Amino acid sequence: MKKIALLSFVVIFALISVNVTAVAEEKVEIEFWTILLADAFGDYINGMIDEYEAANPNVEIKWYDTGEPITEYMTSLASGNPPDVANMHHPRDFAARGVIWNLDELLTEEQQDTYIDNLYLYGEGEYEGGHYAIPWYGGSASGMFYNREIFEAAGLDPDQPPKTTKEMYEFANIIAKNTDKYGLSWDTCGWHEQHVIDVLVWEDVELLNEDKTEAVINNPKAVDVLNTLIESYEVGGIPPEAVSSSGRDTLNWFLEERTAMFVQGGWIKRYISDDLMEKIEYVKVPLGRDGSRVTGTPNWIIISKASEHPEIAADFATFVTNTENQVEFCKLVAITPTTKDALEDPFFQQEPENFNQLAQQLAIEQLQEDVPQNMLIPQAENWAEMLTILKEEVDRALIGNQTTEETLENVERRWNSLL
Amino acid sequence: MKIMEDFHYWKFKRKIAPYLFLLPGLIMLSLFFFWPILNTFRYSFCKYDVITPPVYIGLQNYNRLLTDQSFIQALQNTVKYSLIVVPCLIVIPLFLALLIDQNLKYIKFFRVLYYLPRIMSLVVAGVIWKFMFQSDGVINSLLTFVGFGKVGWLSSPKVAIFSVAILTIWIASAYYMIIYLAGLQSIPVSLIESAKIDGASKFRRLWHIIIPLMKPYILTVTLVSTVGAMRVFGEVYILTSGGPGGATNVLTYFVYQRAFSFMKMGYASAAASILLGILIIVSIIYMYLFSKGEIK
Repeated sequence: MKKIALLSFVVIFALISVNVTAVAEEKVEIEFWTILLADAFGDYINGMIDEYEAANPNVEIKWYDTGEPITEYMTSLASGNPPDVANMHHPRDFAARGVIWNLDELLTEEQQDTYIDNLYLYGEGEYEGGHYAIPWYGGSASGMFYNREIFEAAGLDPDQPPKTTKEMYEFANIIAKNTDKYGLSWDTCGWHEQHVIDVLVWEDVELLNEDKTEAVINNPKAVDVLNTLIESYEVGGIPPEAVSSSGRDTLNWFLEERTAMFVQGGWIKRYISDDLMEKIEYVKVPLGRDGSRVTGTPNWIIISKASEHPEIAADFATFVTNTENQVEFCKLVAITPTTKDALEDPFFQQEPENFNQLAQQLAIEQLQEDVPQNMLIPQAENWAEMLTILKEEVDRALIGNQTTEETLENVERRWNSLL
Repeated sequence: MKIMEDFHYWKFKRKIAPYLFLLPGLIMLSLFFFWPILNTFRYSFCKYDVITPPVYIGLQNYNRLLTDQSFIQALQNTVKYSLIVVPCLIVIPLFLALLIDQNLKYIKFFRVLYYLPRIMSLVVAGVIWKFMFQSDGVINSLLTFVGFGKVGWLSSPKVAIFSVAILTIWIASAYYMIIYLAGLQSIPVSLIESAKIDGASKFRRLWHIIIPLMKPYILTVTLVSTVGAMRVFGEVYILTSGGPGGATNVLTYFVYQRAFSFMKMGYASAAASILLGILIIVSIIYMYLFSKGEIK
């Protein structure tokens, strides 16, 4: 009897202890995804997480770095277990399917006003009047690298880089003619086959009507732009593999000194050898034929509708993207911030001490220039499929299987079948 | 009575035991193979983007595929690619196996050397071949050196499919070489010796003795390489991304794009189901030939 009583007491005590401990230790877990940042910026991200957790002891951030954000996010949604906060591309696709929060419901006006208007209000995070994504860091298409040595070998003045796209293609063709190199590192693929649309948006070519219900891409300007591209491809201004490349081929061509010019953000500096750095310059992106430029889309932060703690997720998301953290991130790599205050930070006003700072200031200067800044954002549902159609048809034009006119007719017809 | 009971129990156990041993494998197969296939077939009749629940739309996906020029091109490219790769994978590994099935000094070194492509990661092999295929890469440099012109290995729509096939053949030959080697080493030496004594030349020994006895292995290689060729993906993804102009866009790449780039899982499932149907038909034909014991 005594033994049973003692045993019962021990069991009850143990159960109570476990429950008390569990309650005391119960934390809110927030899962946070980033895209390919762990290898070079692990310390920075972990530092940010530690800081947030120290200020919010009841929150635990679980960090996961992915190389296939869209595929993995889709899989996580299908399994019903998406991350609370995710660094993501193409937020509009997810906004359209109602799986991410409209931040108008989670953030105050003051918080939303933190971010650069052009990006937050009108960028890819905007969908049907709501705002579904926070811009985090920008990095693509912020400048142009060019190889002075190749310029000299081609008989071009290395101190006079192209200032317009017309000059850029002309220089590319001259380089092809006078050297055994190619002029411009460009392909029809790129990230999700965006490089062809990139060129058209850069030149301010009209793609769809105002309602986005009809394709109007078959217009004289588009013909002119494509003809310039095709001519450059035919004479060797652009590598022949541009029609079948993938991943980072354009970057690799430039690093191999196969090509002389490469429009890209300064963040690729970490791949450039010291020897190559001695030979190259980084300048503003050339202006399109009508004086326009295409601005690269930043990385976005989204909050999943399935999050059990959306307010805490939103708080963490605004912490990650606040001015202080973004400026710290910019000190590590040549990316551009996305908050208004960050642009005014002394770090971006001082005399550049290294390449990263030079690249950042150049990018910010371009953002603040009074020229049409065209954003590369999806303009319709089925946008990914429309880009693939455009790529396939332009490929056929580049390899000489069809004329420019036929290309644009095909694109228009196939796009209209999707709209 | 107890003896009879024990006997029935032992008989029952003996009947049931093999199935119990097969059960774990069957469960795994069901979970990771049969269930996904059934689901894919189910989704092929739906409008489904993975994120929102599937909506039944009947045969709409299949109807659309029949008029989708990208799908038709992918189907044609898959057949073209298979017609290039399969004969090469039947002949080249057999030739390699014959080479290394000799009693020579250091033959083991050559066996390892010929097998090396197989152990290399597809991504690494693909990147290396991509470099070599560049217009100013090593292959074109050699061709130019011997007096031929440059070839657009990755930029010509007529050649690009061959470039993808070359990568596949380079990697897969090692695998089939081992299958053939096993076959060659199962041929009784006495048969070959007898033929030698009777004055049969090397070619006659090969044609009249070795190849007939190797037929089961040749059939196996044909079936496996055909199925593998129709399911090619990695080589296309790394070398050409389906280009130029869709010239190397094969069925699996088409499925991948529709599923993960366009978020049209239902449509991709329909294409995948058609591919599965084709593979089943091909497999049935080969199994029939296999059971007959000869290639007609």
